[in-house]
Amino acid sequence: MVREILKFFIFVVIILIFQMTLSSHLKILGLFPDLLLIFLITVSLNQSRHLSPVIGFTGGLIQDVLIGGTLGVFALSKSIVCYVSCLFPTGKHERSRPLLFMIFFLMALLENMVINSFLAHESVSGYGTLFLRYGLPSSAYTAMTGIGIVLFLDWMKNHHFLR
Amino acid sequence: MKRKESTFWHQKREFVILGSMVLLSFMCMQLDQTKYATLLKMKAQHVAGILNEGFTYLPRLIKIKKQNKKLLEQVGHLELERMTYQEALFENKRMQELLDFKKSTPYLCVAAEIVGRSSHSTHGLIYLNIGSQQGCRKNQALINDKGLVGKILSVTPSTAVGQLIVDQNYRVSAKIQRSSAHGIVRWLYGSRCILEGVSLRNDVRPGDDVVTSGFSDIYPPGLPVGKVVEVKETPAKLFKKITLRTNVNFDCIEEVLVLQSMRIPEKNDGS
Repeated sequence: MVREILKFFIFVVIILIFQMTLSSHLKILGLFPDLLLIFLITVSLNQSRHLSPVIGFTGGLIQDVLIGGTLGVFALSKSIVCYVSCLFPTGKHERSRPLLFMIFFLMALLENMVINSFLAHESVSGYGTLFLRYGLPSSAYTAMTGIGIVLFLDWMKNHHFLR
Repeated sequence: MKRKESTFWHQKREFVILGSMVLLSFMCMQLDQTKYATLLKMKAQHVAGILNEGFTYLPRLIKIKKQNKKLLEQVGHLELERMTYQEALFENKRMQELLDFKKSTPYLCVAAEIVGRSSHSTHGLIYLNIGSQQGCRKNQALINDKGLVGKILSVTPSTAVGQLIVDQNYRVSAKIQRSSAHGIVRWLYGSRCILEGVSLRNDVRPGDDVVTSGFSDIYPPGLPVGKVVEVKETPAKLFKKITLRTNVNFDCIEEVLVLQSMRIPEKNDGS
């Protein structure tokens, strides 16, 4: 169990650093995919529903600390997102790829909504503008990246690169 | 009662956990501006910065490699450009010196550029870019600001072949300027020549200047040839063995003056 938790921490930190490092390479029209969100959703979908908020909170809190924004914002948004993602049908066989895409997209959208609700009052753009200009497109980008990664991992598994 | 509590926990625990996480998140937001939270974030960002540095190492290395290649190309181009400018600068300097010398010398001279050299190490032959059309004749002396260079060996309408002092077949009548001891200069090796035919009783010392004697239709008297570097006297022999070093550095000359007339032109007073 301790080993699993440690592995989770290391993965979160690596993904965050990776995201920070490659943000300039992954940037399209000023939008970035949320790689940590993809990872946390994927982990949550394979865990029980009561554990998913803890996974989201921990991942979000690490993100808050490392990125240096307001402490707790990502922790809150990711707790909610991870919990909600587990409300979708579980089990590997039930989750088709289009459904997974929808989960990534809706969860990214939900996270954007939660974060924007904190940021909108500080921004000169209104909530609607932030949602339309950044929320929707970046959610779509995150969902596409997420499904891309899943398909790549599937391909690796099929070709016995991964156990 | 206990069983009821247990059932409630099983039914609602996910909401309780979610609520706890949300509550914890809000608590974190409240703690955000505290000293400890700021310190924690600073430390974490420091560690993240170090890790980030490690992650960016490989992309930076690739970028640096590309930049390095590009810069090397640029350096190559700039070096070529710099060399061209430097060459022009040196040529300009040499030309200026030659022009100054031409103005100061009383003889009628014409400047010539060395366009080729003999590839054999014992043949001190040079190819000039002027010929008979420019007034060049066989046996005209070649000089520069340092002194005697050689003479014209053959001429075509537009080119000429010059023979340098440092040719194994070259001879020139010369004297020690201080004591007027006469002899014949011939090439030894490198920039060294020997002055032959100076008798033992003549006064010659290292450092003496050797100049043309004037006993020639080719060279005017007093043209510097070189400096004595070594004097050897063997009692059994009639002559001194005098070694001199030429004033002209033959490895570096690129222009010469062709002495077209040994007669000093008379000044036109206008009458």
